[in-house]
Amino acid sequence: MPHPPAMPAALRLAQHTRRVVLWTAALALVATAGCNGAGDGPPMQKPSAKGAPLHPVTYRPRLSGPGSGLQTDLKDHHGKPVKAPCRSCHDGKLPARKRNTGTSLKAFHVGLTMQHGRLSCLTCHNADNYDTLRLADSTPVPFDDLMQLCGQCHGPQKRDYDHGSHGGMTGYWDRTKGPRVRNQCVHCHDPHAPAYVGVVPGPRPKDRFLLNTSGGHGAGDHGAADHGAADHGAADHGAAPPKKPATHAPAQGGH
Amino acid sequence: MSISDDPVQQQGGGDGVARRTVLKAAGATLGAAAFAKALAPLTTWAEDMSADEFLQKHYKELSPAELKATLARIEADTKKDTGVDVTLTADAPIEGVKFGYALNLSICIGCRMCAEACHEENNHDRKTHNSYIRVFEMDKGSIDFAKGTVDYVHPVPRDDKFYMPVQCQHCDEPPCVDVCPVEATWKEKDGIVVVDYDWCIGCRYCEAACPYHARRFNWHAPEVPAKDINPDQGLLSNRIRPQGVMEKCHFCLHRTRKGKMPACLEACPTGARVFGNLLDPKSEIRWVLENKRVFVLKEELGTKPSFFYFFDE
Amino acid sequence: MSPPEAASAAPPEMPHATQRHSVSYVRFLARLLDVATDGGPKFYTWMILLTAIALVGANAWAHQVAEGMALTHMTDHVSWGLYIANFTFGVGLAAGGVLMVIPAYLYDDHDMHDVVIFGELLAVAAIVVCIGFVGVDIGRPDRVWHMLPGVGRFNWPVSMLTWDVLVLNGYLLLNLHICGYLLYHRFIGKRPRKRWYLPFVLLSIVWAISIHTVTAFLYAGLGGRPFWNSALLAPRFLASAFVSGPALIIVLLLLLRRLTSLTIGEGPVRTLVNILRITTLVNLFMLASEIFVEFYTGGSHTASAEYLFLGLHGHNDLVPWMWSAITFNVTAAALFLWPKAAENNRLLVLACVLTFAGVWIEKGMGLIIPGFVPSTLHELVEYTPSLVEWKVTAGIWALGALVLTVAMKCATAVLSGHERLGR
Repeated sequence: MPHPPAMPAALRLAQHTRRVVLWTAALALVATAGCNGAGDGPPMQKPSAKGAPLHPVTYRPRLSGPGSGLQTDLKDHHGKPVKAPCRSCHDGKLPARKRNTGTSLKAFHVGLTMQHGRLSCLTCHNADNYDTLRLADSTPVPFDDLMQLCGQCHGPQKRDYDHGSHGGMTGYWDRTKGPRVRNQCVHCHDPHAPAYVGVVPGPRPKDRFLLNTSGGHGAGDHGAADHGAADHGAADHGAAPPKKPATHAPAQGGH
Repeated sequence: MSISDDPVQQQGGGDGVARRTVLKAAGATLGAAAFAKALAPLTTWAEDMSADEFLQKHYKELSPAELKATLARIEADTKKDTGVDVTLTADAPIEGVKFGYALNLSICIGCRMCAEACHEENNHDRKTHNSYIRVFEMDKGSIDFAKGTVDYVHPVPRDDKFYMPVQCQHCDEPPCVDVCPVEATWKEKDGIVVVDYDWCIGCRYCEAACPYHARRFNWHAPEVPAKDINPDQGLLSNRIRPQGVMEKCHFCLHRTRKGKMPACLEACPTGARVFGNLLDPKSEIRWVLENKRVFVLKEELGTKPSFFYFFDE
Repeated sequence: MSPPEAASAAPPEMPHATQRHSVSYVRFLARLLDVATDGGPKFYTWMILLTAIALVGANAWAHQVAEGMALTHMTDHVSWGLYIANFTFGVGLAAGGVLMVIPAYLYDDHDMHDVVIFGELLAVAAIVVCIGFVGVDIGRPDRVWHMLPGVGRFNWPVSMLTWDVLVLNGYLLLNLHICGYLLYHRFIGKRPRKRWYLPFVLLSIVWAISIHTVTAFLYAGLGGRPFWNSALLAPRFLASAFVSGPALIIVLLLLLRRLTSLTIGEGPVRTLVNILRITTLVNLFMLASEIFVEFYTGGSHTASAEYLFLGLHGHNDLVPWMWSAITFNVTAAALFLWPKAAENNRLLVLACVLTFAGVWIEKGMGLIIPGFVPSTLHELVEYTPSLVEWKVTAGIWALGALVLTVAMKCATAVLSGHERLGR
């Protein structure tokens, strides 16, 4: 698990988005529904022992990133966020097939650094339709079918994912009783720099003896250290349950 | 302690004896009154306890009607004490299910979200921030708890460390169950080791016997603000515990016996936790046990945990 | 404050004598009650002092029950503390009290016969103390009835704690019966019948060993606690019991000799010193064996011993205590072996007090606390008792001293012939 220091993906995407907004001001904007689709992932093909019908497994929606477009800071008159589809820029441009970083760009994607092996942009992005991704055999896949794409190289992780031992989930262990929602790869791993960047942990145990003693396991007073450091928080990997999405800020305050 | 040279005793009958008897009676009365005064704090404590609560039968001895009455009584008591309407259930083990839990040490990042989720799900005391899970940050290269810490605050994970959450291992040979003098803790058919909070006498022998530091004692009555109380409660699981009794991880049986994942698994962002039915050969937990390098904690003690740790590579 | 013997109904000796016994037994009890509450200013001062301490303890305990055991300094890491430490020591005292029975009856040492009663009364008081310490250690005293066979659920024979409950209460009854029977017969001026006491006396010897063995097994059976998980624990418990018990009895006998008219010859004291010469050494030898195995082997299982003797990662609360205990015990062993000291009562008392204190530390805090430090997951959390714990502890020892004083007073009165039927 190497963790090179990297700018949190969410932050990068946010900066990136701001630039896009400036440059696309004159362009025709396409208002989208804001929801980039709680893509109905394929239910796991696992017959239950009793033969009862299984509830589906769905993918948890990605919280940001392209798909039906790049999110902007603008809102339409319904108050919904405005998205700029990739093709509004990329149509009519020749693809740079060997490019694998944004650093040499003068506009768009400028802050994007790639730390993902020797892949180029077009290994995954589809030059024939930038609003989709592509598999190695050129088959287009939608942005929300990432598992298949990543699984081309990351076989063991895909295998573990398929067997429920990698990637967060919520819902039912017994799918004859209820459905399950699963994280996708990009909830934790920025596709452009997939190494896990780290988080600030939740508060440490606060047993009274830990407050009384010092040194060793029981460090004395601890206030600020536990709290308020949530902005360290990494990519969009969020804790799985929807009730407390994507934040590692310790919720409780009382010392 | 002089006896022989006690003049009064030799003096015999008459006024001396009578006066002595009166003095003795007065002394005894005074002593009794003093003890009553000294023990006065017990009266307020006893006032809080209803006769039903005092005479509550052991969980296993409850008839269906008595169980229903018990659930209703505790729901009413909770309403009275906290003002919160809770739903108390007592789900029975599911036929053909034995729960197992596996934890992937290769992808656990030590974020303590599991411990947090446990804290909230299980109505733990807020002041002590209790949780059934302790996450150890350990040096890579060995599983040596002596070099582990639980109170790290830096961003995780660190390259030179790995992270090991420890909770009740739900042993098949649980030492804690053996030592309980009153059978207040036992192993259910689905493998969950439970505590009857209404039967435990609070001797803490189980806490001494557990090799995994999995048990917790209610040193005082747990306090949870009304707005934070999780109203979905189980009789043998996350209901607000009384003072002076033991508690421990119960695999969220109020959830898992309804088919849901335990709270700690749902909170895990990385999917390091795998939960399921050990008796179902197609379950994910079985896939892990059959395909990964799996170990159990302190195997040499022969406790046969239902909680497994594994590595990816 | 009725004498403890009152609880033991000495069975009527013969069917035809039932009537007579029913009268004289009641008189016996009435006389004892009288003796127990009569005395000079010193006696009353002493009793009032003890009662006051017991009151403080009772009040602290009541607060602990009402407000929760958070008033103690025990934690989920060190979940047993001063109470269980004193309980363990008390069991040793109770077992040791009966040691005098062995020379008296097995070797037919007649000098010892009267003195034996004091040993057994000490055992009774010590058991009261033990039950007290277990009682204050449980979180829900209102639920003690859960242990009663029939209405509760008694996890016997699997839980060692249920064994302990049985053997301690059995031992209490056994000693109450023996003392009650012998004193009652002295009171009515009859020779006690061997079949009514000798089997019980012999049983009490075995039983004394059993109470301490069972208590040792309580800890030794826990695989998760390597510091306790040693086959030597039960023998060590017995060795130390046979140090603390006789040491206290020597002091008591010397006190009785000074405070009462009871003739206590040199014989019993000499016998006890001879016993102590051996047992202090055996106790030290076993300690040395444990230390050798712990430190020569090393490894993570040594952590507790390291914490106890040397301190671990800067945590060393117990180190001064443990080295004091060793110093006390070595000094006492040397004094017992020095013939002059055995003849000099002051030195003898000093040796007894030293070894008593040494064993109290070693078998109490020095045994219970390191079992929890470091914890099973090697977390280092130290423990120092809270004021409430000290108060409750003092209260229980005061209660034990009350019981012992009353019992000794009654026994002395009967044995010295002051209290006799028809007098």
